[in-house]
Amino acid sequence: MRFVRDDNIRLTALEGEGIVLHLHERKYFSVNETGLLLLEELREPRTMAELVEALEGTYEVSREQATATTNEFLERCLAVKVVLPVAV
Amino acid sequence: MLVVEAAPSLKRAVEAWFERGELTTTAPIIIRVIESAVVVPPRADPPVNDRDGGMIWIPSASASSIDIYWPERRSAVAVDMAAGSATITVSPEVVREFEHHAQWALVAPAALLLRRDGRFHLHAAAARSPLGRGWLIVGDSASGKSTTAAAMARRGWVVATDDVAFLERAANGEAVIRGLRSQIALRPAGLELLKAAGGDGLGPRTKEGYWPERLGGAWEPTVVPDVVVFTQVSTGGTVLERISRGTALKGIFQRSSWSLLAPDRALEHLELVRDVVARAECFSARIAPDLLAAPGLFEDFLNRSHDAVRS
Repeated sequence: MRFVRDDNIRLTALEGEGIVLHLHERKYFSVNETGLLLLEELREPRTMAELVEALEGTYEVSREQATATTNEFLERCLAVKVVLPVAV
Repeated sequence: MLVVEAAPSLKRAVEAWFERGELTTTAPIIIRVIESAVVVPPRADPPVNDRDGGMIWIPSASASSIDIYWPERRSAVAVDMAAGSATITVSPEVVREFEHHAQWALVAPAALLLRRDGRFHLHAAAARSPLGRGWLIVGDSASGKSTTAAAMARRGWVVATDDVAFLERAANGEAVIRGLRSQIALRPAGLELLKAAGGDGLGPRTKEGYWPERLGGAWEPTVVPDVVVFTQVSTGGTVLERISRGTALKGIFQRSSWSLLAPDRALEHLELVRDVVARAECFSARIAPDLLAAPGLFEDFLNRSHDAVRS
């Protein structure tokens, strides 16, 4: 399974904190530095493993920590349609 | 260009509000005001509630129109974004003293329609010190914005607005704050703190109004903020704490939630917020009565943020 950012998403960031606009849903969300990194990755379809690798490559975190963070973030984003599943 | 369609007395009141507020527009705006004893609440499923103003907002599916309803005032407005028009339906009680009600009845439709001119509403005060440092004071109702703005006016500051601000892009590309010219509206607590008296009664509200000039200050339309402060009232002592620009970005946008009711320009709005915050030093302030009661504390409050800006 791959995941990708919804086309209706716009985001801006300042000093590691960001605002995500979902223009279609007319909602906005705030994200931290990790969330910003994952959303940047998700401009293109990514697998869970690729997202975990991106986190590991940027931060000094264990595979377990990176997996848990990515899982939680994806779950939240899927729930509010910021990220969509893409069939492989 | 403003076109008002209403009974003569209402037409004069609407035109006077826009003229006094110095809200010139390039895109035509049509305001209709209708008196009706029965104002039917627009249907909303689910309703969209403004967090700070007792209003219910109902955007259409296409966001081409937005209805606003004030339950306590039995009044409503239908804003047609594409046509640039707002039809305001008000109760006879509101009509009788419309000049006193104009502020709440007109700010919301004006804020939506002015987006077409690249102006984005923000519930905030804006002021500039005699040394040229701009302040943006952001907060909900009764958070100390007007009292702080009045205290600044008393020290000779320019006060662009104490409550209704618009983010806009200046000709040189800079993000600036444009203020609605109106009286600084002080509640009884603010009047007491400032030991002010003799203001103009602001209709049914228990507020008194003071033009900045009357307090020793001045009015100018725009301010470029060097300092962004989020205020809230406290019963303890006054505290000023630095916050990150990211936190400030979120704080301002949270108070611009209606930007997404008309999402076509939401990103432009967000980028203006970001540009304002990016050049400013940002603070959170808990404002207590000691700020104005203790000798020199207000000056210290202003100077501490000044020192932070210089450091």
